[in-house]
Amino acid sequence: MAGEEKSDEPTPVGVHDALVAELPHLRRFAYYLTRGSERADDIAQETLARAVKHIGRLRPDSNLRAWLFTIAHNVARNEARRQRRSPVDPHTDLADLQPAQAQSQDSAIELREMHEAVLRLPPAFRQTLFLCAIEGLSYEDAAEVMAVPIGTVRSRLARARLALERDLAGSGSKGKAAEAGKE
Amino acid sequence: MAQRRQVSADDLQDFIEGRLSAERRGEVEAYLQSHPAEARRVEALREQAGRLRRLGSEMLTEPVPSQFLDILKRLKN
Repeated sequence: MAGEEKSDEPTPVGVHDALVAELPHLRRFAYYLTRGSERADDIAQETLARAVKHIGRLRPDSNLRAWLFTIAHNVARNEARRQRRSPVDPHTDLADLQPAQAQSQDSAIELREMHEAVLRLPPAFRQTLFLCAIEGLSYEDAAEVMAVPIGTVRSRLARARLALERDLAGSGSKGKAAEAGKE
Repeated sequence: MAQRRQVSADDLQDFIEGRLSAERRGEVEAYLQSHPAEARRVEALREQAGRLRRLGSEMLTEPVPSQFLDILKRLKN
């Protein structure tokens, strides 16, 4: 999958270490993009291979994380097209996923429920929520990653938050978020 | 006294997201004090935003598989 090509340009100073620092964020994005599928790391590695090959296209003023996420978004979309199926893997066993550890038992359960509810969101909502609410990207960067207007990011984010709130309020009955808004 | 600016749905969303300037945040807080029903809704979404920021944080501290570092060796110096 990941091509073997060398970079097309010399690597700007500091970019290697900056990429190393971004790897956990890239892997986490791939995880949320694929709903925790085992393909997540394949997508993350293919993304990194493309980034390395085209490192000369990285502008000095651009946000490295957003640039990597833009590539990952395209890799995941192309892979889904190739496989003729949605990037959402309906067979992922949510019970296998490990949510964040938290200090108190209550908040650990809360976080786990939220984690599962986020994974139940339709792909566009899940991705927007990840980029803006979990990663804290600017609306501008999130718009660039998903190749949509900023207004779309805003409206998706508001609707994703409401869908998540409704899902969590519905005492854990699965699938509510998915019904709340297919785009 | 200067007329207070209107608070829009976008302002409320940016407030929930923590994306407002200190000045604008103060204006939104003042608005919410006089709109308790809206304030409760906004507060629920702010709590949600706080929890979301902690999601998946354990993934940021797990070791990265060595294949990733191998790919970085293709970078030209």
